[in-house]
Amino acid sequence: MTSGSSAYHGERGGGEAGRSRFPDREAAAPRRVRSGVKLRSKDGPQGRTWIARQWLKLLDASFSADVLREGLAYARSGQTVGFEIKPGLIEAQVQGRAAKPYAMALRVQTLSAGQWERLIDVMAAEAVYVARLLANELPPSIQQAFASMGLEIMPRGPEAVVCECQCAAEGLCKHAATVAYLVAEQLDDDPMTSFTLRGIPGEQLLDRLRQARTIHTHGVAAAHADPMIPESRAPVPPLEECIDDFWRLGHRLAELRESHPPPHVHHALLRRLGPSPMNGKFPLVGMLASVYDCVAESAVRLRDQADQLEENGE
Amino acid sequence: MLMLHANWTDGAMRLWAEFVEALRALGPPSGDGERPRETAGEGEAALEHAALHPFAVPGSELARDLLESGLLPPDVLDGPSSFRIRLPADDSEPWPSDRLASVLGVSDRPVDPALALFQVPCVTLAPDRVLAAVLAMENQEAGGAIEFGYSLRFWMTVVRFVTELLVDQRFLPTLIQSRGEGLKAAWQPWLHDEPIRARVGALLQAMPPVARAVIDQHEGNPWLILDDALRTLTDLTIRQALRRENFAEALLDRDPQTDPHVAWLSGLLGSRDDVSPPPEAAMTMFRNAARWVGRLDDTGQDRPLRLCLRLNEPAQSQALRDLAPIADTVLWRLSLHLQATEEPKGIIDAEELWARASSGRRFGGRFDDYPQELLLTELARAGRVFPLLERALSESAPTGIDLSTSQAYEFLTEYKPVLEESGIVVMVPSWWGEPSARLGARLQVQSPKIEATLAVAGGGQGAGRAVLGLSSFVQYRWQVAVGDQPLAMDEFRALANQSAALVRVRGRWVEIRPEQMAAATKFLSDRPGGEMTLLEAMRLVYGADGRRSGLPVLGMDATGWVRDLLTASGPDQTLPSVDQPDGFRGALRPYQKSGLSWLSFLDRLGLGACLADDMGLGKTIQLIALLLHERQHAPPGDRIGPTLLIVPTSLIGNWMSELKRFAPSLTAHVHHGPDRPMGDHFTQIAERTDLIVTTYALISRDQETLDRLHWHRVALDEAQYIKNPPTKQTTAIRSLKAGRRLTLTGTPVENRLSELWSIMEFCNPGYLGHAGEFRRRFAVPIERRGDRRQADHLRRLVQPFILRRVKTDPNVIDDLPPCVVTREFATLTAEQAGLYKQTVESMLTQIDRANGIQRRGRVLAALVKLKQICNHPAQAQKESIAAALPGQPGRTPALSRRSGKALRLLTMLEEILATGEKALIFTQFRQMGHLLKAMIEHDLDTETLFMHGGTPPTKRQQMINRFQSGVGEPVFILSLKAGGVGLNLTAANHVFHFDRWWNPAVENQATDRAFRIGQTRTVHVHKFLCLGTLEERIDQMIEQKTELAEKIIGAGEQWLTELSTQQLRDLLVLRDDAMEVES
Repeated sequence: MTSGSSAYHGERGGGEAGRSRFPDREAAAPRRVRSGVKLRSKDGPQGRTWIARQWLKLLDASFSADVLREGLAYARSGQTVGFEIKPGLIEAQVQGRAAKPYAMALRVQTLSAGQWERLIDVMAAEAVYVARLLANELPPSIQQAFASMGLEIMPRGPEAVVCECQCAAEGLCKHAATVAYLVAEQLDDDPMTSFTLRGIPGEQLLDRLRQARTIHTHGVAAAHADPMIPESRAPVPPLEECIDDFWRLGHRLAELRESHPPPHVHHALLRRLGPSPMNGKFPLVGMLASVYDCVAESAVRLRDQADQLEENGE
Repeated sequence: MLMLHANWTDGAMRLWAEFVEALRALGPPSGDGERPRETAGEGEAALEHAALHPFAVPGSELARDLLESGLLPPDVLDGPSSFRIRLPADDSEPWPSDRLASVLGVSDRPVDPALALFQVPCVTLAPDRVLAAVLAMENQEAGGAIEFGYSLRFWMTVVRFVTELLVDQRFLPTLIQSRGEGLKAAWQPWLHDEPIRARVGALLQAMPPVARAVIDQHEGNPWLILDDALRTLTDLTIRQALRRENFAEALLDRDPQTDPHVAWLSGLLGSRDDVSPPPEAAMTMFRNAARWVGRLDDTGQDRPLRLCLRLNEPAQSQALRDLAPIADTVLWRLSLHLQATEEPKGIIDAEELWARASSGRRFGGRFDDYPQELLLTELARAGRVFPLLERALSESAPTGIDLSTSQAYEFLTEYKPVLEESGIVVMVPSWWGEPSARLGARLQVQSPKIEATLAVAGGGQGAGRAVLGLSSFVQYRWQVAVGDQPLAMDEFRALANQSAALVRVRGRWVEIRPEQMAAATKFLSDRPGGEMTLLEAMRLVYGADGRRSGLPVLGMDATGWVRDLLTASGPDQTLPSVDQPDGFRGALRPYQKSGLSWLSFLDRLGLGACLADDMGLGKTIQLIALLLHERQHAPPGDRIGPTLLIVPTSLIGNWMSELKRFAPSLTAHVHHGPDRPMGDHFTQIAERTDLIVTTYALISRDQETLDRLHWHRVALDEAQYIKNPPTKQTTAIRSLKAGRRLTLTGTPVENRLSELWSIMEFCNPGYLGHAGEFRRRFAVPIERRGDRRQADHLRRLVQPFILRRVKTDPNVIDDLPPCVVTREFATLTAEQAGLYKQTVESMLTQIDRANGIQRRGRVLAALVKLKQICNHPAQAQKESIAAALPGQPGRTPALSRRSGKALRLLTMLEEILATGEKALIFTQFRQMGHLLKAMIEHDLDTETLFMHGGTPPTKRQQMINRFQSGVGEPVFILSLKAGGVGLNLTAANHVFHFDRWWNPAVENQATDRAFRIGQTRTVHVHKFLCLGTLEERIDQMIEQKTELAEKIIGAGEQWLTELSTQQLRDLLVLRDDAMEVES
């Protein structure tokens, strides 16, 4: 499976909280984290991109001002040991006053599979979306695609973000806010993260968009790439100009009669493919190997019958 | 007669046919009338309305005809339907297709044809049976009642290509997502790799325009049509094969909802193509499939650097012992390198790569940022194919892996080809794959010197039966060898006990196949040596025999006369040269003398020979010289019996005139014509004659008469006439009793395997095995599969019996003058002779009653008509298409069968084309030009240029350029007026004067189109004459430079009108006895 999540850690990884002689007692001030994830900007996230600003707006609407202030302070001082953005979910370890960092999960309301389906269809209809997204840009006009379905790129309402944290606080806590600020910076760096927050990893969204675009332009998309046959791009003279040779074979037919297929390499394609990346249990490759043998045998039989190579009748 | 066509439309192969009889009912299309053309606007409007094709066969009738003719088995047709197609039309009537037009002898098309839309009835081949149906059709000779149009030939080639893809396992499963539909699974042909890609490109460019003239969703795009056909045929044929083997049963108790593999396979193994995983999973599945299949695309072509694996053989220091098991401690090193894609010599070792501080480096002018990473990624990719490589990935700076000897062998045999296909460069020791690294056996044959043998047998020329030959016994012994190094038996036994595939023999690595060794040991201990016939020995060595020695047979070494035989027709021949026989008038060229000594050598051995020199090198002369030679060297008192020579009718005249010219001392008799002597009378004549000349057609008819004699020799000219499968005629020829057999042919027989078999079967019966065995062992593997080994075997097998010199051979070329002029004498067909006599008689009675201008006019008119009759009856009668059509439905006698000259021309052209040469044909008559073009295109399937007075200047230049270019049409017909002067046509080295102008200057001028500066080869000029007609007599007059001839040359044909009726009669009347020669 592809990674549908992005993980961020301090330089030394997790579990590096400062040591205390009294590990189980809450301290008055939060324990320092050596090389935790810090906000880059001392002043807090800049919201350089419109999507990051939307995120910050969501935070303003969902968290209380006090919690946000404390969270910003935590984020600045690097209390976050590490965090990971998964589809619809941010998981993090934030060092508070307790001996060990709190495990925190911040859920973001996702879109349903059906909603994504339709959204991708709408986006695929306009080449500009795909082009910009492929360049790792998120055009503000993409909001229109969401709006056309009565949706927004960031969730709204009381249930828009929900937090589960090991700390004692009710609802959205400062640990959640801490991480939320880091996410805002992440959105500045990689706007595609916004799709992960809403349920589909950015990379996957691009794949699906590409496919949807192929279907959109060609009516169909295939898992294999089309062969590049240079001759297929040569201009084809209109039939009206071909009346003299209308019934004639091109001269390259002789080339085909004279050339012969290269020596056979058994199961060549299957061996080049290697093991299947799908998580299926049925032995796909083994089954395909029998298929290749059966088809080749049957084709040899067809050919030999036609060439009258069979022993009978002679 | 039906002309069968094929079109791919709506996902299926449609067959349709033009129906000659229906075309006749419509009356002839007019070729030259210019009609008002519809304007473009009207043309578009016409697209809406498609008229029913007026001479296409209704679908149900076509289905019946195809089944009744046996072309198609009963279960492959899906029933009649129809489609719309644009076809060239003249005044809204479709113009007959090229091949149909050439059957009818029409090659003049409308000056300005347009396309019009027609509804064409057709039958559809059941999509999953197309391969079986078309392959079966492909191998049935077209001709007779149903002929194949080019569109059908094209699709046959496509079907053959798809079959080869399936045989070679070049297909893969895929998933397809269509708008508004669920995920579907499909089988896809794999066309991405070279050389398959190049073949697809060639197919695409070979597609005739008619194949894209159908009105359907592909809108005439050749690639879309071909791609659709390739995909559909691949998918449906695979599913059919899998259904027959019940593959889908394997999935019975599996759940596609939980297992993506099962989901995918459920859409692949049966008839259903839909894949129904949960909607969430569908996308993941599609993406994973795309990633997986996408691995095949990645062959590193676009990268500046490629991974290179080099297999290094173990160092000598590793104690490698000869003929002993190789210890597992002996290690082969598979080392890692990067190679610059654009500069294969730029190789960098992994060690060097890791040693560099910076990982950037310049290669071949292109910059790759991260060669180290590239090495690792490519290594991972290679590891998917060759899992042992993954060991290298566990090191931080891998430089290679060590392999045991058996692993190294596996790498060489199993993995090297796949790695190479994946775009990874593999370098192996130079001995790998070379014959010098392979174990095999040589057959050593001992035979005495030829003189000794002949002396022992006590016979010479006079003995009726050969004492030597293929059925004589020779001493043999098997010799095991590595490459050309012989092995002692104990060395071989030591090898046979090894289980390893790579062993050391005399300090070299040798590949042995353990499974062969047991068979070989048994074979050699059973028959290490002894006696067998030469026939057995040759067939055994060159793979004509089913018996397997276990070891590949590397060749044959011989002593004595067998050695002479093996080398006699080769470049190193050591035959004593033979002097030119006394009775021969003229001088044999040196290569002709060596031909003579070869023929006489094979004669002495009692072996049948095939003299296959290029046209123009004098095969006739060599046979004549042989007849003189054997008479000269016969023991005193021995009379050499008669040789029976069988030739095509059109060649009788030629033979007789050559014989008279070069060997007047030989007696000859032509066995031909209605009054030919039969029975005892014939026997009496034959017994006092040296050469009896007769025709192929008469052999079976006069079998009783001809079988009474035991011939000294039976010889065949144009031996390719004895075709396979055997006809009554061929059987009769083979059953003739003969002491010696000899064949002449100018076609490169070694490349035409069924002809080769027929000729060899006549010369040396049984040598190549029976027809089916030959087909299985040689013809199909060589022609269809490109089997080089069998091709080489066959070449060696027949080489002792075939002598073929081509004009460009160094020892021939110097002997040839720059220009060779020959007269080709043709005989009239019965139809021609009848017309000729009738015309002469009616003219003579008419001119008796006429005077002055009227008489002159009649003479001239009759003269022209006689020349036309000599050319072709259809020309003389100015036949329309309708009249040229067959009398009875179903059978069309080919146009060419009605003219002796045409038959002769086609036979000669066939040889010329087979050797890749080009020819000019001059005629005075435009209509004859059209007929010639039609006959050549139909009978020889060769495109032909025709320039006449009506050809516009731009077109003329185009034709000249095409003819002079390498790929252009090989035959150029010119009307004497349009093409007789000025043009440069040096691409031709054959010039035919199909009819005569009676003015050598005019003819020479025409000849000079090819025989001029820029010509590098000998030009062969062939002047055609009909025997016994005015053509022959006027030619004689010119040759003998008679008084009359002066008049002829000066004044064209006017002088004829001055002749008295009696003089005219003498000149014109057809000599019935023209071919009779006093015996």
